Amino acid sequence: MNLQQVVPEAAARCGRDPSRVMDVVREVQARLGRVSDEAIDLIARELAVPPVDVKGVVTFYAFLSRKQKGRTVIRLSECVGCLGAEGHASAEELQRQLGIKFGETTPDGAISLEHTACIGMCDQGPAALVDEQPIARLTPERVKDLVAAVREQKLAEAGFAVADNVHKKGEVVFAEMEPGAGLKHALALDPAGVIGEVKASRLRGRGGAGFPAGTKWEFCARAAGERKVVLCNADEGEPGTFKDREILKHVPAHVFEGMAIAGYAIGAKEGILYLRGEYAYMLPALEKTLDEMREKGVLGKGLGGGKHDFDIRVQLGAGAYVCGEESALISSCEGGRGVPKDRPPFPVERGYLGLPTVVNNVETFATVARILEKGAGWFASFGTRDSTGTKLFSVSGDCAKPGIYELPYGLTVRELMALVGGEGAQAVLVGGPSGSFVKPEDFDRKIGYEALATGGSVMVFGPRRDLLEVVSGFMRFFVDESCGHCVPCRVGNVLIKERLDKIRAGHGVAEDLGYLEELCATVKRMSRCGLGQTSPNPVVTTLASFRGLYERRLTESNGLQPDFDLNAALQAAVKAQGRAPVFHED
Amino acid sequence: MSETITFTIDGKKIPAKKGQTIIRAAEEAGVYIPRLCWLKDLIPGGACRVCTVLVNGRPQAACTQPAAGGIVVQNETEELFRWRKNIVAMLFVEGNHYCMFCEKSGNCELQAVAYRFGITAPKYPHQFPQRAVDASHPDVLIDHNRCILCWRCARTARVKDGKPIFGVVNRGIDSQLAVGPEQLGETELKATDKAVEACPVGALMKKRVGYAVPVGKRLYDHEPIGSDIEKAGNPA
Ligand SMILES: Cc1cc2nc3c(=O)[nH]c(=O)nc-3n(C[C@H](O)[C@H](O)[C@H](O)COP(=O)(O)O)c2cc1C
Ligand code: FES
Repeated sequence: MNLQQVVPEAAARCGRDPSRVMDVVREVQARLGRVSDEAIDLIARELAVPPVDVKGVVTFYAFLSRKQKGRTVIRLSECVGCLGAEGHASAEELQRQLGIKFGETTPDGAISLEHTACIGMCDQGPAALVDEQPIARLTPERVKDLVAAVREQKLAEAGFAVADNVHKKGEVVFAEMEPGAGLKHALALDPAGVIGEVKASRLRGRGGAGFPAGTKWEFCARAAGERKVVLCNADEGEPGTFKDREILKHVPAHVFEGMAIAGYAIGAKEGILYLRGEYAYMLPALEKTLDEMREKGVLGKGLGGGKHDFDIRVQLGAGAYVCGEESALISSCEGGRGVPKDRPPFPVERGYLGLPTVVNNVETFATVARILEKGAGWFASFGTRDSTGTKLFSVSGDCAKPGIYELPYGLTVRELMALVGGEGAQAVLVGGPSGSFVKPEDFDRKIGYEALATGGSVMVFGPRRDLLEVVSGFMRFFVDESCGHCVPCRVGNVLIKERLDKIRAGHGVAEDLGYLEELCATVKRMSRCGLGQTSPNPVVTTLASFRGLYERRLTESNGLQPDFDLNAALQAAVKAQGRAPVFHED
Repeated sequence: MSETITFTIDGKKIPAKKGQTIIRAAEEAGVYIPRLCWLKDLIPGGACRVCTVLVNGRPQAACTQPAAGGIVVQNETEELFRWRKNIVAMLFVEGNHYCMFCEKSGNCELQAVAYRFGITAPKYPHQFPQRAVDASHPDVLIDHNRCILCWRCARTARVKDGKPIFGVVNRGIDSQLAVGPEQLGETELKATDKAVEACPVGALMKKRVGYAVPVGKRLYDHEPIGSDIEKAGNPA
């Protein structure tokens, strides 16, 4: 296999379409273990895009690389959820077994070892991806078996299957549904009627921001343009979130049907499911579901006796959390760097390739299919007034039963903890790192848009966790995942993490807390997209609810900034010279 | 055809054409909104965020946000002033900026905005990144140490020179201006290209002309940046 063969093949597969750079570079990476500078030039020529743009794409995504990677790449999740004691031990064992450090490749070119951000296996960490295959519940023992299996190329047979952990199936998302039942009811209405039904259900988007789905569809339906697009957001990158993984595994047809319904409502014939690169292992099963749906006449041309044409393609990502932000998702679907866009115009007016586009979360579409099957009134009878329906919670961390729970909105943190065996937690993080750390005194607050909003991530931190270490881990995540386009997010998060770590190291002084608050406010208020507007939240919410944790680590200020311990730093010199420094005071 | 609307900035009535951005309308009315990545007649970049104003209380970049009839814009508030200053301070520690021996000193927009804001010393810890200088081109050089990633050169080269030679590589704090193919000398860039003039700082510079204008006679040596806008809109 060489470049001259692989690149033209990959380019031909997507019709040499300049907006499909992602697919081509993904294929080159998969087949050749890297996208070399030579490959970049060749791809640029084949797709008629500037070479510097291809280089921009290759260097943006974590799973693409200009340098040669091993034939197999092992990526250990370095997410806070995964890196407990077992995680650190497994990381050590991986390095020992492979004889290399993270970031290196074995001398025979067989295996590369890397760290990666949350891979959505938070309920069964420590976890890793071996190429596309997820491996869960790692222990040093299992690491030995894993490395042996990889070396013998027998990973598939080695029995490393991941668990489901769906502990509570509710009426809306996971209940059985006759294929096409929702779509059938939708097609019996006119498009405005479908939008009316979704509005009447008061369904709010399940991806985190909670925008009313019906209203979004109405905007898009009204937007000028013949060609429109339905985009399903399966980027699921917020640490602690893995609900879409289970939806796509158990009820993918509900999601695709919801997309077809949205297509009918807004007048779109095309759908795209953007699947995060970490979930690439699900692609074959999803393609199979799509084929089955086409056979059953739930997708394809002439649906409902010629009323609607709709089909769906899957777009794979390549490792970038920011691509979950809807306008970055669109940039990435267009084959570019996953950089958010300026709004206005909003995607409903000008989205994918400039076409009016509805972007919704996986769970939102699955829920829509049910609403059209059972009716808005039935749906709204679950949950609360402002947060109707059931919601999937991804529960992970220090609790007896981590996993997925489909529950009506409106329960309290305390009730949820009782259900999952998370009593005694020192803090519960609701809504992922961009949400808020809740302290025990606030466990009677309700989960829902009225109080604690969440896209579904619930992380439980037991009494023995070092919360500031957790916070620092999340800040590292945001530093790594910032797209780098705007200054406050690109630089500000680095400065926040730096000062936080200074406090953790015992060098902080009282003024550092004010310094952090001012920095956090600047990043939140001045950043261009939702990533920077929420990335300081781990610090902001712990400074508000767990200030003592910071204060206990501060030292007395002598008017100088003690960035380091002078005496400790001098010890190497003291040892070499055989004499201690003399301090003069006046 | 262009419909005229009015809105206010800090209480002052501002006329605007429908669809015009806040920064443009403000400029025409003699109100200076600080900016770094914005350049006239170029698609706005929305990257530096220095132009952030409050629109009906919400922070928005004035360079990308269209004016709308009746909106209430705040440009000079104590908070905005602090946050903008913080962002400019971030830029100074993100790269390696040595104003005292930079040829651009006095003509540099970053330096000029910093002076206008009253910044005289670094506020945050220097990051001291390792960055390269690309001197491969006979007439133009890139010093990445001084680049603030405003993408003005990249956008200008594409839109005005018709040469998509600049782009971005990496992400987050590692983001960098890049050229395609590899080095500036291999591109079709000419010293006369508009892109070369677009750089607000000392990152993309013509060789051998650094001191043609003596210090003391440079663009921002006597009056703060933005004074021209304020004067034009408010004739004495
Ligand atoms: C940094 C960032 C990451 C996001 N990641 C996701 C994601 O993985 N999945 C998702 O559905 N929404 C994500 N969102 C929210 C999307 O921008 C968007 O609001 C959502 O996809 C809309 O769908 P919904 O209304 O059905 O929730 C993210 C937002 C931000 C700012
Ligand atoms: S001038 Fe508006 S973001 Fe830079």
